[in-house]
Amino acid sequence: MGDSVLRSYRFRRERQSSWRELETLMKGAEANGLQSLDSDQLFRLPVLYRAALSSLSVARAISLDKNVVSYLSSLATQAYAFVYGTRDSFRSSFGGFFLDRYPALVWSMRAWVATAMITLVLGTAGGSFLTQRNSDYFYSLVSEEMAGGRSPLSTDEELIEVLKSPEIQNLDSLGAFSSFLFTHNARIGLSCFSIGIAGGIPVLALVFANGLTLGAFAGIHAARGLSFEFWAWVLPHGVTELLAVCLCAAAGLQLGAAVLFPGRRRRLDSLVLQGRRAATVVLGTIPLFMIAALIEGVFRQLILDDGIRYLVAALTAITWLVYFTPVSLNWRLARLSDDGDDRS
Amino acid sequence: MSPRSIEVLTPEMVRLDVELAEPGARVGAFCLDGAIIIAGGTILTMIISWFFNVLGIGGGALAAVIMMLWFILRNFYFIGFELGWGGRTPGKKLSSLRVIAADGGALTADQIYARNLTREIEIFLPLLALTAPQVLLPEAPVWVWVATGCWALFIGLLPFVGRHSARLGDLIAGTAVIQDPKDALRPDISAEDSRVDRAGEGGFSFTHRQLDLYGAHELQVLEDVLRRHEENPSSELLDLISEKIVRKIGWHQKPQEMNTERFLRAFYAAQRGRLEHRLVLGERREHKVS
Repeated sequence: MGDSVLRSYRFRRERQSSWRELETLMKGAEANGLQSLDSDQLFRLPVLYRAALSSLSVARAISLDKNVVSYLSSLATQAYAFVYGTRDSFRSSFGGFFLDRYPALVWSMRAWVATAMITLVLGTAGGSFLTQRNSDYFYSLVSEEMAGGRSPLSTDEELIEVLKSPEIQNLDSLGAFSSFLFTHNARIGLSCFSIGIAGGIPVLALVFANGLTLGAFAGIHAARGLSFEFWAWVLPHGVTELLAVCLCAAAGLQLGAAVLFPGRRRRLDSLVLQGRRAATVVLGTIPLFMIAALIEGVFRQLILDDGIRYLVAALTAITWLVYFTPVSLNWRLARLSDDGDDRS
Repeated sequence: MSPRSIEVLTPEMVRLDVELAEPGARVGAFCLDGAIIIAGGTILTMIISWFFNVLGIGGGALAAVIMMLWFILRNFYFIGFELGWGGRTPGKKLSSLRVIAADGGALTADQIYARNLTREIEIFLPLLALTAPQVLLPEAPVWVWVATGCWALFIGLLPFVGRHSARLGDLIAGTAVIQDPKDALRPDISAEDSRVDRAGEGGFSFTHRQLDLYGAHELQVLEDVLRRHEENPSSELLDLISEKIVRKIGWHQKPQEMNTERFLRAFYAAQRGRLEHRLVLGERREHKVS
């Protein structure tokens, strides 16, 4: 044979043993798990992967053997997926996401979260003020279904009845049940996110309107001197639920900002980039809404004592404060999220 | 590059052409996974119902626990497997599908969470909107239900209409589902007949002028034919092609006078040697001169 052998065939003859080795290693790992490889093999894997990539580049340049090029392309793709596909254990990634990355992401959007919170508080204060001035506002701020029989004309006893009575029978029908998962506020949260694309102002309007409704309720209770009992009824789950609404709103605002102020990026690129961050924030609120729903559906029915209700409200508030602020993150992560803030 | 493939750039800056999964294959994989989830969920539901019965608790609490169970099961099944098996669930593995990062980077756990939790919005909400819109939007008029239904259908059908047949979750997470490539390495056709410009075993020798008539495209068609001939021999096809080549390059023998398979192999080897030689010199010839 000698010199007369084709250059591309010589190339293949010299390298194919390493291609075969990579194939065998991957096949073994697929069948018996990564643990079945010893440390030498684990060390070889990335080396062989890079060798296959370089073979692919060379083959594309010098070889006209279609089979070799498609084989190498196939091998390189498999090895790429193998080397760069996740091998995270469920626990570590789950922990990593919810313990570090999620709070860091939220912290990086703190300005938007604060904006949403202030809007909500302003709305609530406004609703309460208006309703106390003129109780007729209640009817325009609160829909009949949400009011659940409460109105400025309700007697003190009727109001207390709602605040203090177990509503377990509510959970029985399937319709009530879906609303258990998709509560009114969860819907508000998702809408906030989806209308964020329209530039942010509608998000603030929605949050403000939500605050007005809450304020209207607070107003009719305050008029009877039932404020203490009312907030004991709202806050245990409200802290979590309203926080989740504010996070969704912050995500929506971030999207709006991405559209309005794309910076040096193209508008669409900016939207995709921020959309990914915003969607992650919204997805992370699902557990928050669930926790809130559990507190509302179970705890509030069982515990009627105002003191304990306030205690739980305070506990949830402290928990989220610790969770979402750098108190619980190590300083490196906190700085990382600061960088994220500069970019956004 | 077929229309169903995308380019990804690996972190080593090498371009890979990967083939996207067919929507049909994805539906198939999803059905397999769905069947596994339903089977597992039904068994767990029965066990829990029995347990609650023994304890004497029923109604809302039981329904709540079971609803939570299904939520956790259908989400964490996908997340768990895609994390642990490098982007594959049992259904995907059986259908040879795999999740990768669409930009060619490393597939992160966050991307897997995002693409799977989105399924909740993509499949579950549309179903609810189509079957029981009054639960989702209690006070809305009928046209809002219709609009929601249309939107839901659009989201659900996105994989079938989009250019990259991507799910909403794939778009948000920046992932792509690809068909696992399975091209095997086969023996080099030129291995026995790779002498160029020299009297080989078959006694076939070609001049540069004869070899410069065809391009890489024709060479690879010839490669396909010869490989297919190895699997199921068909000498008529080889005769036909030999005749064409003989006429084009002005070969001194008629196809009937020689072993056409040897002739074609020798021609393939010589042709490839010539074209690869020119490739090294920077001349790439794609097609024949007409």
